[in-house]
Amino acid sequence: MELKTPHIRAARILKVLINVIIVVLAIFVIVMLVAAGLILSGSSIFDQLEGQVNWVDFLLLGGLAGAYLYVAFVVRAIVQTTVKGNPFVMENVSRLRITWIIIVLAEIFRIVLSALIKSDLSNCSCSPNLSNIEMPLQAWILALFIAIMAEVFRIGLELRRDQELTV
Amino acid sequence: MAIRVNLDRMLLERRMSLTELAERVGITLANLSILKTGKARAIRFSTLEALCRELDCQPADLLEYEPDAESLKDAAE
Repeated sequence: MELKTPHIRAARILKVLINVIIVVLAIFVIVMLVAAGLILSGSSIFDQLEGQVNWVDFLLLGGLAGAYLYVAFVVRAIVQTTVKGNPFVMENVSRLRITWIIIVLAEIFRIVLSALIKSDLSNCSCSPNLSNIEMPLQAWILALFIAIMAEVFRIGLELRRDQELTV
Repeated sequence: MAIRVNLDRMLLERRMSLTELAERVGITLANLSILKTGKARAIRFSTLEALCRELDCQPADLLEYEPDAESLKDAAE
């Protein structure tokens, strides 16, 4: 049963936006992984950037983009259940839980790798730079928000079950 | 669920089928089956009123409390 409300138009627009984001992220991931591979194989394409970036930068960006690509797929699946008029399903609770865990792991991965190996573009240095660790709060706040939303969806699922079994 | 709905007995006494009762009460046969098999989590007063009207009985004739292990455990907590 699709929602017969104006919200369905918003959900469909959201689906289109998410599909665009998925395509962009997928292309970005492929480009980053190919670039990392080319540098590792000794290709001369990135000679002009020697000393400024290394293969780890591309791998890091590709890995992070891959994590967010997965999140985009999860969001699309949730939007599809919303369009069908039934977002409060156990699958969405699981998807949201996995999403916030992936965001946290991606941030930890980024921080650890940045601390160990990442070079500072502004200093054009290839040596490890512990002082260049960035810890933006946005990702952590996002993960917390999604964790809370997962529990909200779980409660919504219980309420829906109660409503379905109310005669 | 510790609340039991004695529809079978009332239907037998009134010589009515489940389908006929569902039509008279105005709920789907599926929902009435949920009630009959004890899977319902709640019942609306409007539904209870309609059941009592069509079966010509009191709510106490339909509803029975039989504590089960789950409800006793909930009470203990």
